[in-house]
Amino acid sequence: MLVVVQLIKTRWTVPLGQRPPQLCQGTPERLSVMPLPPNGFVQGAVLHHAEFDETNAYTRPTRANLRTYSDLRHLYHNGLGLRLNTIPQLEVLLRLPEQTISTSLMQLAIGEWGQLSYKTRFGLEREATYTKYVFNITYRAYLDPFVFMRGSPQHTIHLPLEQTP
Amino acid sequence: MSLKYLLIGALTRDRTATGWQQGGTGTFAARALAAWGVATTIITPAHAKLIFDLPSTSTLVRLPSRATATFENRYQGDARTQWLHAAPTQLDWANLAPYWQQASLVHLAPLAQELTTIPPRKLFPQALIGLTAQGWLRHWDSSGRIQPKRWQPTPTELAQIDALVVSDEDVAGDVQLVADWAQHCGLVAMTQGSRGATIWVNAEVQHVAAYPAQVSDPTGAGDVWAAAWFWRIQQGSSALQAADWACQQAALQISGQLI
Repeated sequence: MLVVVQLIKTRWTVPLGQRPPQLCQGTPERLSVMPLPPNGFVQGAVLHHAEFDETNAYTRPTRANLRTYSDLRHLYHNGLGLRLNTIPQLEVLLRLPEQTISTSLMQLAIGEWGQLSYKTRFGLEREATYTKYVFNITYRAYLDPFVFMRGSPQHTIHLPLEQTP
Repeated sequence: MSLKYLLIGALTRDRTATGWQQGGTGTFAARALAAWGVATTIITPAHAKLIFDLPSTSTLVRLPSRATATFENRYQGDARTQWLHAAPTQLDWANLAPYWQQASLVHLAPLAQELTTIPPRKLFPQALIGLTAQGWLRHWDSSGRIQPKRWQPTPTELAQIDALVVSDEDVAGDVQLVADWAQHCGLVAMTQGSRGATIWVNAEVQHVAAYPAQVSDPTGAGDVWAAAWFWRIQQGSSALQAADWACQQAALQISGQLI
């Protein structure tokens, strides 16, 4: 079984005096999982990471890479973590390192995929840089590069700006 | 608030070609430590209205400041020129609350003269104290252009810390200068970009090779290296093992894989 996590990070700046947009319009929230690992066969977990920003008008990722992991403990980002339950089921958790209690954000059965997104902000109230994080997560038998391109996620969570993990 | 990794130093507002970005040793260290599952607390002087983007694993303790440290970096290949547009208020060690004395790792990260001295060891009696001395190895002229400056710590000052990290750029490649500091500080490292790092353990020198990386953005690599080295040593690794892991994490940082 394989866990596939795709993180799409998009950054944009709101110049002084302009209204902050709700989202960076038109940037992708799902991508093909490419390039595939060299040997094609993966067990454990895959993290596909892509970043978009203003430098090329969001036409293509400014950074993109794909890494494989043997252990889910290495897939840890800003307090988000993953846990495999015996049911079997993949649980997406919000947990700070020194806390023993985790908040369960979503549970994915085999073959399902979920999308979690949130935004962060850096700067002054009227002149800020925003970063949007979109996580597409699935738990399945094999690596399908187009898994996130078909249909819609079975589970969706959008955290508001004030409740970023 | 976490006392496992306490970082004291300026978070910065950096002017780039595409707008403002958050910088400072604390920014890159906190993000890397979050990826390793480690909570941090950052004590920084910063303007009250500036909102920082830090992982939820970080707690920010903001000290009142007339300004937030504001830098501009320009890269040409591996070389960087830097300007300081605003300097924060200086921190007075006498004003630090006793609560912080329980910290188990303290990372001193001066960038813009917000810290001017190494604190006495008794201020953090239980901590491994690491210093990234970058901010004490430079000064700025009236236009804000940053220039190298000679830092001349006394043996007594160096004895207050456990580990010191500088880059070869900070010391203009003066290995002998760093080796001299290593006579008075048990653990010293000089990071050397794509050439890895040189470390001194009780004044004995060793080289650690870099990991291959496709450079996406070199910013923050030295900060990640230092955080990784301090953290691993505090967790019980040997200085050499910790330096190897630090080189690996720095390679991930510059290739954009440490997220």
